[in-house]
Amino acid sequence: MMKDPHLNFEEKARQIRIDVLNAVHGAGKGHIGGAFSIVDILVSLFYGGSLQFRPSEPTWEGRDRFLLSKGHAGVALYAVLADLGFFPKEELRRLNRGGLLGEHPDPRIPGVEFLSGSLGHGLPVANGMALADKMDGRDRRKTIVLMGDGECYEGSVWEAAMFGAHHQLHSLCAVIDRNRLITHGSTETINRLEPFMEKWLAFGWDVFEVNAHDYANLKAAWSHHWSKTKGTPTLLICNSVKGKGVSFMENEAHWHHGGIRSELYTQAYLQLKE
Amino acid sequence: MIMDMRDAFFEELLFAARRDSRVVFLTADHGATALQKFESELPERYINVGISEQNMIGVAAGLASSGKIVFAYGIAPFVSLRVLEQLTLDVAAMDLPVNIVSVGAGFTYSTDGPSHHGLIDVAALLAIPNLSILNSSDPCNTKFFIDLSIRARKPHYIRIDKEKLEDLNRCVPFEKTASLGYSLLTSGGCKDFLVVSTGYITHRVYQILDAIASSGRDNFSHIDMHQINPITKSTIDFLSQFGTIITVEEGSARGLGCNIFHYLSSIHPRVPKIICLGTQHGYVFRATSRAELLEENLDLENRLRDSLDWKVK
Repeated sequence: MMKDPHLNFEEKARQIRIDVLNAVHGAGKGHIGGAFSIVDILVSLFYGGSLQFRPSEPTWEGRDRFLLSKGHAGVALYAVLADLGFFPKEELRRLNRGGLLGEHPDPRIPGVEFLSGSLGHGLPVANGMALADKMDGRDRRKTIVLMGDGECYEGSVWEAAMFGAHHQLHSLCAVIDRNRLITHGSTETINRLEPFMEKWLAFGWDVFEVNAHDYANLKAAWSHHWSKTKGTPTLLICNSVKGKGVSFMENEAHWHHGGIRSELYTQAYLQLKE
Repeated sequence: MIMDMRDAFFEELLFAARRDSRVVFLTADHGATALQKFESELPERYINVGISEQNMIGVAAGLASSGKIVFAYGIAPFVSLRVLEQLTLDVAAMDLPVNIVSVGAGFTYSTDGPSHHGLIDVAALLAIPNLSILNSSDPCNTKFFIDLSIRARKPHYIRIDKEKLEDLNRCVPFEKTASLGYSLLTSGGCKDFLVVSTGYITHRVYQILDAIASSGRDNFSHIDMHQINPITKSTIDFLSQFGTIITVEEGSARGLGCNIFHYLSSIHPRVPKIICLGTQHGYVFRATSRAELLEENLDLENRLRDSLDWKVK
């Protein structure tokens, strides 16, 4: 994908958030909080010019692989894929109503690499993809897997963390949406994840902590990963705000999933439009 | 030919891996003598993931989605029940060529207790759509599973045994009927009874039936069913010719027995009477030999003779 040098990332993210808001409002309910927290990560990745893909040829052999392991935020990925032309934007209006798009990504959807929805599956699968590329001497291409911080309670994540580092899968980058909230509250009060970075460092990963809403920060992280030709996999801890972009949703756990009443939808829309 | 079943499978797998560079072998730290050759000859395609079955199945799915044909090996309960969701979502729903190689069917690990017994793996996995289940009963069909699974490029759960077993005495050569999913071992004089067994226990069933036949009785036939799922149309047509079907398996009768009932009742208009013989106790704690546990939990000879005494309608 060629990079558009004139693209305003913040403006693109604002438009994507409006698409997400409209899709979830139309569907009646959805995982809007965790979708908003990853919008900037997706925009910086898909519009930044490094990730290779072809919207007209989704299964193109030369593509980099992107897996959304926190599948409940699928609507954010759908908004990006629709904007890039993987499928018509009208599909967003049919979210969860018998069309192409369901709450969790599935492989029927152009641009979706792998089924997700149950947490803790993406990193093991990404390990396998990166390992295949390493075996075939094709490890210039990248495998990116986006997970939630709450997903890291799953034991399979840590099984996979050991494996990726042991096999020095340098083409693999795991991105963690560290919004610090799960469905019923704070990760740190419910079942502490900290010291989070130290855990990943101890597992042997090349760890970076970035602001998930700062494009310069994200760009530097992607550049680091794309320049890598050997060594251990990359782990980006993206400190994010759940519900980012709409004041009354920000850092509120109850916006993890649900419907949006009409007056709140209007407020949210006006805030994003500003 | 008498052969260790793991040798039969893994030697054939090595032959296949030499021919086809897409073949990759994963193990969750479980070995076999015959695997040493694979590991030393093709180390880059022999990966011990450690004791981490969930990661192993995910890695297998990732490799397979990148063009590899994967064989992932471990002890029956650990590569079935522990990874039920990974098998369902990452492998079967994605329709990937991942072949789970499961050792430890039934009471193979007899003294190791319920954690290691493979009694409900088949029953549990039969609920997963798009997963073929193969069960080996002799070196002949064990070797065949390699070629079958590589050619099919679909998800498979393959049970292999760790005993030394002799090739079954088939009515027709295995190659001629392999694709049907079963082999005819005894052909009776009429269609009153059909005994359907699968895996290691087929050998014991054959002995018992042979003794019954020597007493002059010939109103039953016997097949070994190596393909537990899906059951082919030809198999269903064959089964439906009999008055009574007696299924025998080393594990829960909710496996092969229930699957035969499911297929017959949903596909064929005529359902024979079906008697399902499997293990009778859910959790077996007594640590003793496989032979003793089979005797205690299946009571095979008595139940088989009783079943064959059902009145023919």
